[in-house]
Amino acid sequence: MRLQSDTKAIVLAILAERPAHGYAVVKAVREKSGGKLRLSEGQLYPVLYALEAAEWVTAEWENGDPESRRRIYAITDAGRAELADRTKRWSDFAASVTRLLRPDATTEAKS
Amino acid sequence: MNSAEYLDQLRQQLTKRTSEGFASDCIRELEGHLLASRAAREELGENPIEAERRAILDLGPVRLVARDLARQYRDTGRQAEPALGPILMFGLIFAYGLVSFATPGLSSFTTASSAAIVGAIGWRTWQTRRWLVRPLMSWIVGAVVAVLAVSLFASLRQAEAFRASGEQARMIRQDEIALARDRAALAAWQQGAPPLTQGPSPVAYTQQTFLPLVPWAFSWVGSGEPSLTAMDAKTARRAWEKHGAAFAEAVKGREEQLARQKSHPGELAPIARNLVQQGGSALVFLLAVVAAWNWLFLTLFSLLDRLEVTRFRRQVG
Repeated sequence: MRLQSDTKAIVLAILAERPAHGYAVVKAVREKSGGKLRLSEGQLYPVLYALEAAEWVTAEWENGDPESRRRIYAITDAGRAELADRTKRWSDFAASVTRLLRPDATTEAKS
Repeated sequence: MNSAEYLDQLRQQLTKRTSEGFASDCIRELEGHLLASRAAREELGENPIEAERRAILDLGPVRLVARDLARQYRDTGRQAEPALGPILMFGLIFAYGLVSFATPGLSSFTTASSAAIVGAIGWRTWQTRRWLVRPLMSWIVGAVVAVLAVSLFASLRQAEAFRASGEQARMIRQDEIALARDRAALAAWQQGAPPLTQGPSPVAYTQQTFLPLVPWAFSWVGSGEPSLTAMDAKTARRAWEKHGAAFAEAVKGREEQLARQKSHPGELAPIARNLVQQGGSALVFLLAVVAAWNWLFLTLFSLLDRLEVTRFRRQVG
């Protein structure tokens, strides 16, 4: 089964922990999800550029060296606010679906 | 394919679609990504050749990576000619509508299908998340304008031919005869005469109208309109009782319409009606064909992307 996830929120969540370059983001997603989630590496950079354009992350060449091959992405305050918003929306959505799929889980949680 | 070849192909694709600076930055960053990915695999014990191959595979087919990057480039407004796509699409569809009108033998199906193909190709070429709305809107507006423009020309031409041929005068005479007959039947009924069992009777009936260009029929039920049918006295009486008042109204309306036609033989009302009818039905048909074509094309594009991934895996592996 294929489920739709929010790639931007996932990348923001990784960067909220610490600034990272592209490959480190891919690796972190894989490790933190226990190998269950894998970012499409080719699609990661357009997502990072979109986040940068929205001013949710900043990007700097590593060590300020313009000849470097790594750009380090860091979340901004606006990015953190966006992440909080997306996290809330996702939690509400997930809770609603869980209530529908497993009505007993809600009862168990209450008792 | 090794990393250098992969990046070289990617650079060529990106340079075609984006600026030199953007392409150069992307390539440098992706080169760093490939190096990091390869190093991580080598640490896990993979041999360098296999590690490089897997790193390239994980990045994906050159064309798809370049396409996504180029879309993002356009999305962030770094491209100078952002409005060109939708305008071009609008122009193409509009021009095609006019050309198809002027070309005898070109069916509306061909016109609508071609408009849909142009739209689908435009969608594929210019589609980006934020931009999706603009090409679609311009495409729909273009199609509507083209259809209405073609319908207007057709209607005006028909109206001109109609007047020139003397057909209108003949139809007015026919309407006068029919109206006199229906007026007499109505007067007889209003004076309490036994209903006619043959000739005009006000009956409810289903009028089927096959709108031009539409492959299916729309129908609606009208009542009180005259119908030349033979029926027994009982049925005729019931019909008059049930629909007589509506029939009287219909006769009155037809009298007024006929008077208007006689005093203003070239009036635009029939032309406008024709325009709305043709434009509306063509639009319904167009949208139906467009929806079908879009579904087909989007499925095809998705299939092509999957084929490209498979081909890329074979090529690298």
